[in-house]
Amino acid sequence: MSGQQQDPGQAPPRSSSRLWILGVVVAAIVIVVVMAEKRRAPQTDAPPTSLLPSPVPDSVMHYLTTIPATTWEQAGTTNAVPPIFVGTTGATTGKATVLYIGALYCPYCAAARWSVITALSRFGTFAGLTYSASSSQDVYPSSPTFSFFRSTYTSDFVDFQSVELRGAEPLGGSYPALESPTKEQEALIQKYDAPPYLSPQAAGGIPFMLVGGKYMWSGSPFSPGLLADRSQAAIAATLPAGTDPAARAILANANELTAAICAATGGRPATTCSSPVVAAAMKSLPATTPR
Amino acid sequence: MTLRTFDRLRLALSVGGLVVAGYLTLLHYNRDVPLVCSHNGIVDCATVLGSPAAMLFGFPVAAWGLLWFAGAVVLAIASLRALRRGHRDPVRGVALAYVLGGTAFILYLLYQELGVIGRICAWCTVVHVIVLALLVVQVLSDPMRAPGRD
Repeated sequence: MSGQQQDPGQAPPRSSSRLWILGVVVAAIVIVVVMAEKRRAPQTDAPPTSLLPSPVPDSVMHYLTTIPATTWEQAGTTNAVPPIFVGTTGATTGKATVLYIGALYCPYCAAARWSVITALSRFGTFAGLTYSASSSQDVYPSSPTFSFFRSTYTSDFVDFQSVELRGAEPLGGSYPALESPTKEQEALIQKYDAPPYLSPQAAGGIPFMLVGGKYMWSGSPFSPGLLADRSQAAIAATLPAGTDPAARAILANANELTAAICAATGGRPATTCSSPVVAAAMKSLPATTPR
Repeated sequence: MTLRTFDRLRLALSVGGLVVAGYLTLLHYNRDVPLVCSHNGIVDCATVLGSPAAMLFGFPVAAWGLLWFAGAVVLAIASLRALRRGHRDPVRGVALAYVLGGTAFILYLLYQELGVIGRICAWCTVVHVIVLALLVVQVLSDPMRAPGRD
């Protein structure tokens, strides 16, 4: 009878016009595994590129790395957070060491990465940066940003060391561990992310940055609220003009960081360090340690 | 194997997926729920589930999985009810499209795990196997649901 099922006890026909679906799915699984292996293959001798699902596209990297000189000048260092002078432990690699300690869940780190990437791109090249967002369950939820986890940075002037301590979303009561600082990095954190450079209440905070063993930042360079409700691409697109409030904050703090790096590299490269805004910011860098 | 057995298997698999996805969703929202999974080597649930890849449109992927398996349970029950009444499966095409959509999504998640994160989440793999098993069951039983097979 039409509209009724076959006898439930009857054996299924041997042939099926839809068995090909299983073949397609098996082929798709093979393709996915091969593509995944191909993506990971070049990284066998280097850190894998990313934890994150989306690599930053070239178009967005272009915005981050090709900010016009006039925009840098206009941005100045207005409202930028100056570093804390911590002395002269100095770098030993021949390059200025820039240490960044943060975590993916941290909204203040989300803000800081924008300035770090734009500043460091004046000294070298990032690869393997990926999109990220701060925790959806913290203040300034899901602030758009990037991740340094498993990214690489090459430069003739700067040795960039990044440590993303924990992931973006809580799991079983805490944010999962991603990377651990080395003993040397841990010693720097213990020494500088603490009194007398910071108040006891602010000790151990992230993001923590140390440039050339001389200049330290602990905390957010600007309010992550400036990044709210926009994508990374939308924010990045405002950087060349530099008039958007978020762009102004990103670039002003990047100028301040650039000046500290230039002080640590001995003014190299000149193309960056001799620009009027950076040269002026270098002169304004603090030279005494807090008591 | 009869169509009823196939559909009971669909229901069992869907309920199983619902349980696992429910556990992973609870894990995300409830800090008191322990993560029972390896945290070393290639199998590392914490890294996978704590990555931004585990979030989609502001909700954990596990929560979307929970919804998906709830839908699969409803479809399996609809098929079983139709079978009990001797009617043609009213959700034949929908169920096949539904499980194909789920399969496409787990292929994406598999790529994220293997190609991007470089870690495998054991619980996620259980979910992936369940979705693939649902696809196999749906495809193998499909000829029995064909209108011409009355």
